[in-house]
Amino acid sequence: MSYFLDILINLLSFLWNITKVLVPIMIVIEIFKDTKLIDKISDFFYPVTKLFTLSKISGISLLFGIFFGLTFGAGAILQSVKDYNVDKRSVFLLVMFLGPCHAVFEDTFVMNAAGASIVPLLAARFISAIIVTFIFSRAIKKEPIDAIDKH
Amino acid sequence: MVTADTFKRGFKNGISTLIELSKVLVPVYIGVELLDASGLLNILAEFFEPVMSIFGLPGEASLIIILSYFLNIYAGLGAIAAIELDTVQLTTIAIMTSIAHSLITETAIAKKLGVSAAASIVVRVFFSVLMGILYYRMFG
Repeated sequence: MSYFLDILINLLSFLWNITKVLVPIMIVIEIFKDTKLIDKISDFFYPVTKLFTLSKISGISLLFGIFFGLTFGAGAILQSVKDYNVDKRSVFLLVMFLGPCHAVFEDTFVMNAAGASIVPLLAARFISAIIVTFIFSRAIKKEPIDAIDKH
Repeated sequence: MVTADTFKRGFKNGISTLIELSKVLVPVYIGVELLDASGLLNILAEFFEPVMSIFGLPGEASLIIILSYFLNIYAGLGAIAAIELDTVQLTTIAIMTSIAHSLITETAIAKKLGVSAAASIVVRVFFSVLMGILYYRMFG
Protein backbone atom coordinates (compact mmCIF):
# COMPACT_ATOMS: atom_id res chain seq x y z
CA MET A 1 0.00 0.00 0.00
CA SER A 2 2.76 2.42 0.91
CA TYR A 3 4.21 1.75 -2.56
CA PHE A 4 1.09 3.19 -4.19
CA LEU A 5 1.03 6.05 -1.72
CA ASP A 6 4.63 6.91 -2.62
CA ILE A 7 3.78 6.91 -6.30
CA LEU A 8 0.76 9.14 -5.72
CA ILE A 9 2.66 11.60 -3.53
CA ASN A 10 5.50 11.74 -6.04
CA LEU A 11 3.03 12.47 -8.85
CA LEU A 12 1.18 15.16 -6.92
CA SER A 13 4.32 16.95 -5.79
CA PHE A 14 5.63 16.82 -9.37
CA LEU A 15 2.40 18.38 -10.65
CA TRP A 16 2.48 21.00 -7.89
CA ASN A 17 6.05 21.97 -8.84
CA ILE A 18 4.94 22.46 -12.42
CA THR A 19 1.87 24.46 -11.36
CA LYS A 20 4.05 26.82 -9.34
CA VAL A 21 5.96 27.85 -12.45
CA LEU A 22 3.31 27.44 -15.12
CA VAL A 23 0.74 29.89 -13.73
CA PRO A 24 3.20 32.79 -13.17
CA ILE A 25 4.71 32.22 -16.64
CA MET A 26 1.32 32.39 -18.30
CA ILE A 27 0.61 35.64 -16.44
CA VAL A 28 3.97 37.09 -17.56
CA ILE A 29 3.18 36.08 -21.13
CA GLU A 30 -0.17 37.90 -20.99
CA ILE A 31 1.59 40.98 -19.59
CA PHE A 32 4.03 40.75 -22.51
CA LYS A 33 1.13 40.71 -24.97
CA ASP A 34 -0.83 43.52 -23.34
CA THR A 35 2.16 45.86 -23.01
CA LYS A 36 3.18 45.21 -26.64
CA LEU A 37 6.65 44.52 -25.24
CA ILE A 38 7.54 42.47 -28.32
CA ASP A 39 7.31 45.54 -30.57
CA LYS A 40 9.50 47.47 -28.15
CA ILE A 41 12.25 44.90 -27.81
CA SER A 42 12.28 44.08 -31.51
CA ASP A 43 14.60 47.08 -32.01
CA PHE A 44 17.20 45.52 -29.73
CA PHE A 45 16.75 42.28 -31.57
CA TYR A 46 17.51 43.86 -34.94
CA PRO A 47 21.23 42.88 -35.04
CA VAL A 48 20.15 39.23 -34.77
CA THR A 49 17.61 39.47 -37.59
CA LYS A 50 20.23 41.29 -39.65
CA LEU A 51 22.72 38.48 -39.06
CA PHE A 52 20.21 36.12 -40.64
CA THR A 53 19.50 38.65 -43.41
CA LEU A 54 15.89 38.87 -42.28
CA SER A 55 13.65 41.92 -42.20
CA LYS A 56 12.46 43.66 -39.03
CA ILE A 57 8.96 42.28 -39.54
CA SER A 58 10.38 38.75 -39.56
CA GLY A 59 12.20 39.59 -36.34
CA ILE A 60 8.89 40.31 -34.64
CA SER A 61 7.46 36.95 -35.77
CA LEU A 62 10.62 35.31 -34.48
CA LEU A 63 10.25 36.89 -31.04
CA PHE A 64 6.61 35.82 -30.92
CA GLY A 65 7.62 32.22 -31.55
CA ILE A 66 10.57 32.28 -29.16
CA PHE A 67 8.47 33.62 -26.29
CA PHE A 68 4.95 32.36 -26.89
CA GLY A 69 5.46 29.11 -28.78
CA LEU A 70 5.31 27.60 -32.21
CA THR A 71 1.58 28.01 -32.73
CA PHE A 72 1.75 31.73 -31.93
CA GLY A 73 4.93 32.10 -33.96
CA ALA A 74 3.32 30.38 -36.94
CA GLY A 75 0.29 32.65 -36.59
CA ALA A 76 2.52 35.72 -36.58
CA ILE A 77 4.43 34.42 -39.61
CA LEU A 78 1.23 33.73 -41.59
CA GLN A 79 -0.05 37.21 -40.73
CA SER A 80 3.23 38.81 -41.82
CA VAL A 81 3.14 36.92 -45.13
CA LYS A 82 -0.35 38.29 -45.70
CA ASP A 83 0.32 41.88 -44.57
CA TYR A 84 3.91 42.46 -45.65
CA ASN A 85 4.55 39.90 -48.39
CA VAL A 86 7.31 38.20 -46.43
CA ASP A 87 9.11 35.91 -48.89
CA LYS A 88 9.42 32.11 -48.77
CA ARG A 89 13.11 32.21 -47.92
CA SER A 90 12.44 34.28 -44.80
CA VAL A 91 9.62 31.97 -43.73
CA PHE A 92 11.91 28.96 -44.16
CA LEU A 93 14.63 30.57 -42.04
CA LEU A 94 12.10 31.53 -39.34
CA VAL A 95 10.79 27.97 -39.14
CA MET A 96 14.34 26.59 -38.99
CA PHE A 97 15.09 28.87 -36.04
CA LEU A 98 11.85 28.21 -34.21
CA GLY A 99 12.03 24.40 -34.60
CA PRO A 100 14.69 23.89 -31.93
CA CYS A 101 13.95 27.13 -30.08
CA HIS A 102 10.37 28.11 -29.22
CA ALA A 103 8.23 28.67 -26.11
CA VAL A 104 11.45 29.13 -24.17
CA PHE A 105 9.79 30.50 -21.02
CA GLU A 106 7.32 27.68 -20.63
CA ASP A 107 9.58 24.77 -21.58
CA THR A 108 12.60 25.99 -19.65
CA PHE A 109 10.87 26.71 -16.38
CA VAL A 110 8.77 23.56 -16.49
CA MET A 111 11.92 21.50 -17.14
CA ASN A 112 13.60 23.40 -14.33
CA ALA A 113 10.73 22.44 -12.03
CA ALA A 114 11.49 18.83 -12.98
CA GLY A 115 15.12 19.33 -11.94
CA ALA A 116 17.03 20.45 -15.06
CA SER A 117 19.42 23.44 -15.05
CA ILE A 118 18.17 26.59 -16.79
CA VAL A 119 21.31 28.08 -18.37
CA PRO A 120 22.60 25.05 -20.33
CA LEU A 121 19.07 24.31 -21.49
CA LEU A 122 18.52 27.81 -22.88
CA ALA A 123 22.05 27.94 -24.31
CA ALA A 124 21.72 24.62 -26.14
CA ARG A 125 18.43 25.65 -27.75
CA PHE A 126 19.59 29.12 -28.83
CA ILE A 127 22.96 27.87 -30.09
CA SER A 128 21.26 25.14 -32.16
CA ALA A 129 18.78 27.61 -33.62
CA ILE A 130 21.44 30.22 -34.40
CA ILE A 131 23.76 27.70 -36.08
CA VAL A 132 21.11 26.16 -38.30
CA THR A 133 19.56 29.50 -39.27
CA PHE A 134 22.94 31.06 -39.99
CA ILE A 135 24.01 28.14 -42.20
CA PHE A 136 20.76 28.20 -44.19
CA SER A 137 20.82 32.00 -44.47
CA ARG A 138 24.20 31.74 -46.20
CA ALA A 139 23.32 28.64 -48.23
CA ILE A 140 20.07 29.98 -49.65
CA LYS A 141 20.76 33.09 -51.67
CA LYS A 142 18.37 35.98 -51.56
CA GLU A 143 16.82 36.16 -54.99
CA PRO A 144 17.30 39.57 -56.56
CA ILE A 145 14.23 40.94 -58.32
CA ASP A 146 15.67 40.71 -61.85
CA ALA A 147 16.75 37.11 -61.25
CA ILE A 148 13.14 36.21 -60.64
CA ASP A 149 12.14 37.91 -63.92
CA LYS A 150 14.58 35.76 -65.90
CA HIS A 151 12.95 32.51 -64.82
CA MET B 1 -2.61 48.08 -21.18
CA VAL B 2 -2.16 45.73 -18.24
CA THR B 3 -5.42 45.36 -16.36
CA ALA B 4 -6.88 42.86 -13.91
CA ASP B 5 -8.06 41.01 -16.99
CA THR B 6 -4.43 40.40 -18.02
CA PHE B 7 -3.81 38.52 -14.79
CA LYS B 8 -7.10 36.68 -15.03
CA ARG B 9 -6.28 35.49 -18.55
CA GLY B 10 -2.77 34.45 -17.53
CA PHE B 11 -4.10 32.52 -14.55
CA LYS B 12 -6.75 30.83 -16.69
CA ASN B 13 -4.18 29.88 -19.35
CA GLY B 14 -1.92 28.48 -16.65
CA ILE B 15 -4.67 26.30 -15.23
CA SER B 16 -5.92 25.13 -18.63
CA THR B 17 -2.36 24.25 -19.69
CA LEU B 18 -2.01 22.36 -16.43
CA ILE B 19 -5.19 20.40 -17.15
CA GLU B 20 -4.06 19.66 -20.71
CA LEU B 21 -0.65 18.48 -19.59
CA SER B 22 -2.09 16.42 -16.74
CA LYS B 23 -4.20 14.50 -19.25
CA VAL B 24 -0.97 13.26 -20.84
CA LEU B 25 1.43 13.37 -17.92
CA VAL B 26 -0.62 11.38 -15.40
CA PRO B 27 -1.43 8.37 -17.66
CA VAL B 28 2.18 8.26 -18.88
CA TYR B 29 3.49 8.43 -15.33
CA ILE B 30 1.22 5.58 -14.24
CA GLY B 31 2.08 3.63 -17.40
CA VAL B 32 5.80 3.93 -16.75
CA GLU B 33 5.33 2.85 -13.12
CA LEU B 34 3.40 -0.19 -14.39
CA LEU B 35 6.13 -0.98 -16.93
CA ASP B 36 8.62 -0.73 -14.11
CA ALA B 37 6.65 -3.00 -11.79
CA SER B 38 6.09 -5.59 -14.54
CA GLY B 39 9.79 -5.76 -15.34
CA LEU B 40 9.20 -4.67 -18.94
CA LEU B 41 10.99 -1.38 -18.33
CA ASN B 42 14.10 -3.33 -17.43
CA ILE B 43 14.04 -5.24 -20.72
CA LEU B 44 13.59 -1.99 -22.64
CA ALA B 45 16.35 -0.37 -20.60
CA GLU B 46 18.82 -3.17 -21.32
CA PHE B 47 18.02 -2.97 -25.02
CA PHE B 48 18.65 0.78 -25.21
CA GLU B 49 21.51 0.91 -22.70
CA PRO B 50 24.28 1.04 -25.38
CA VAL B 51 22.63 3.95 -27.23
CA MET B 52 21.72 5.88 -24.10
CA SER B 53 25.23 5.56 -22.67
CA ILE B 54 26.41 7.91 -25.44
CA PHE B 55 24.49 10.62 -23.57
CA GLY B 56 25.45 9.35 -20.12
CA LEU B 57 21.86 8.27 -19.57
CA PRO B 58 20.44 5.02 -18.20
CA GLY B 59 18.57 2.76 -20.66
CA GLU B 60 15.21 3.72 -19.11
CA ALA B 61 15.69 7.28 -20.38
CA SER B 62 15.08 6.02 -23.93
CA LEU B 63 11.41 5.93 -22.99
CA ILE B 64 11.46 9.66 -22.13
CA ILE B 65 13.03 10.48 -25.49
CA ILE B 66 10.65 8.31 -27.49
CA LEU B 67 7.60 9.75 -25.71
CA SER B 68 8.83 13.32 -26.21
CA TYR B 69 9.75 12.88 -29.86
CA PHE B 70 6.50 11.20 -30.87
CA LEU B 71 3.98 12.59 -28.39
CA ASN B 72 5.05 15.73 -26.58
CA ILE B 73 7.18 17.23 -23.85
CA TYR B 74 4.54 16.61 -21.21
CA ALA B 75 4.41 12.89 -21.97
CA GLY B 76 8.19 12.98 -21.60
CA LEU B 77 7.78 14.78 -18.28
CA GLY B 78 5.46 12.03 -17.04
CA ALA B 79 8.24 9.53 -17.67
CA ILE B 80 10.83 11.88 -16.13
CA ALA B 81 8.76 11.95 -12.94
CA ALA B 82 8.75 8.15 -12.81
CA ILE B 83 12.43 7.54 -13.61
CA GLU B 84 15.22 8.47 -11.26
CA LEU B 85 17.89 10.73 -12.76
CA ASP B 86 20.54 13.12 -11.41
CA THR B 87 20.79 16.83 -12.29
CA VAL B 88 23.23 16.37 -15.19
CA GLN B 89 21.10 13.55 -16.64
CA LEU B 90 17.94 15.61 -16.18
CA THR B 91 19.55 18.56 -17.94
CA THR B 92 20.80 16.35 -20.79
CA ILE B 93 17.32 14.89 -21.24
CA ALA B 94 15.75 18.36 -21.00
CA ILE B 95 18.11 19.70 -23.68
CA MET B 96 17.39 16.78 -26.00
CA THR B 97 13.62 16.84 -25.61
CA SER B 98 13.29 20.64 -25.65
CA ILE B 99 15.07 20.82 -28.99
CA ALA B 100 13.11 17.95 -30.55
CA HIS B 101 9.60 17.10 -29.40
CA SER B 102 6.03 16.67 -30.72
CA LEU B 103 7.65 15.95 -34.06
CA ILE B 104 4.37 14.82 -35.59
CA THR B 105 2.20 17.81 -34.67
CA GLU B 106 4.89 20.48 -34.86
CA THR B 107 6.05 19.26 -38.25
CA ALA B 108 2.48 19.67 -39.41
CA ILE B 109 2.77 23.35 -38.39
CA ALA B 110 6.05 23.66 -40.32
CA LYS B 111 4.40 22.13 -43.39
CA LYS B 112 1.54 24.58 -43.11
CA LEU B 113 4.16 27.32 -43.46
CA GLY B 114 5.53 25.63 -46.57
CA VAL B 115 8.60 24.05 -44.97
CA SER B 116 9.31 20.40 -45.78
CA ALA B 117 8.67 17.89 -43.02
CA ALA B 118 12.01 16.17 -43.64
CA ALA B 119 14.05 19.37 -43.24
CA SER B 120 12.28 20.25 -40.03
CA ILE B 121 12.63 16.78 -38.46
CA VAL B 122 16.23 16.13 -39.56
CA VAL B 123 17.45 19.48 -38.22
CA ARG B 124 15.74 19.08 -34.86
CA VAL B 125 16.74 15.47 -34.22
CA PHE B 126 20.29 16.20 -35.35
CA PHE B 127 20.68 19.09 -32.88
CA SER B 128 18.87 17.18 -30.16
CA VAL B 129 21.44 14.36 -30.41
CA LEU B 130 24.42 16.68 -30.93
CA MET B 131 23.63 18.95 -27.98
CA GLY B 132 22.86 15.94 -25.77
CA ILE B 133 26.27 14.44 -26.47
CA LEU B 134 28.05 17.79 -26.16
CA TYR B 135 26.46 18.61 -22.80
CA TYR B 136 27.30 15.18 -21.41
CA ARG B 137 30.88 15.36 -22.69
CA MET B 138 31.39 18.84 -21.23
CA PHE B 139 29.60 18.57 -17.91
CA GLY B 140 28.85 14.90 -17.28
